[in-house]
Amino acid sequence: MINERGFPLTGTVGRAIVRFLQVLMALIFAAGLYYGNAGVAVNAGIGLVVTFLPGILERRYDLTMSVGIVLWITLAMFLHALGTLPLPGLGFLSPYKAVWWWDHMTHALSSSLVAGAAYATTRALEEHTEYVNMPPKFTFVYLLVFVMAFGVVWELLEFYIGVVAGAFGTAKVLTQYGLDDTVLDLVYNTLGGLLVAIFGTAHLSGLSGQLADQFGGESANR
Amino acid sequence: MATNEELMIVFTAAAVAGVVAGLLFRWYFRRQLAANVERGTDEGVMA
Repeated sequence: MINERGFPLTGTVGRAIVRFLQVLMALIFAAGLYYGNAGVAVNAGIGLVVTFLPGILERRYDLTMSVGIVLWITLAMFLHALGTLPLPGLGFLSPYKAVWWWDHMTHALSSSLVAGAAYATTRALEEHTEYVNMPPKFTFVYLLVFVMAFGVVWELLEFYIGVVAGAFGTAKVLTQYGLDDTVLDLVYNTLGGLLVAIFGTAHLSGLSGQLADQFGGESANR
Repeated sequence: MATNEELMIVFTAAAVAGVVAGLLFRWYFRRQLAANVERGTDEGVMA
């Protein structure tokens, strides 16, 4: 099944999968609260809130995302939340600790989201105003640099959360596993950004067009 | 052999330098735009 936007699912199936993943994330959040695991509860809770952003943007700003993009956002948030949950099949270790590729996968997926948002916003600015013009090669490099910089900010966030948690003796919501892990995270962030930089034009042009319309509307209302 | 902490110190310094550079960039261009408006040229008045 390929729909008109090229995603291998229909709107109904995609929406059903998104709802299913949201329910699972709510259950992970509840499990975190029940077992007093702050890391699980906070990551699932924030992830769940993020999955509702496409709906809020549609209602408030008339910004409609395709089912594929909503599923992409929800899947990234779900896999991150699931990664923090200790599972019986993994000796009650979380996938982040027990599965070597889990962290790399979620970093690549999340960074592709960041790159997608950056790409859609940049294209919207380009369409909105004649003063901004980015040639394709420049956009490619800009996206990669943006994703790499965001990856550094994320690593700093993880590091300082650990420092603050250590100082106050509280649980770590995000964790760093050492130098090798940090460098690999940055490599997989770049990989996610690279994929969006290559394939972004195919799937995000509709969204950037809507954003440009929004910018136009805001300018007209000033 | 570098440690993760040392890398984070370098990243922190780079992040702080980036924010300072961004603020300086913003200050300089706002000043230039204000000067342009005073001179009556329309270069960059969009910002």
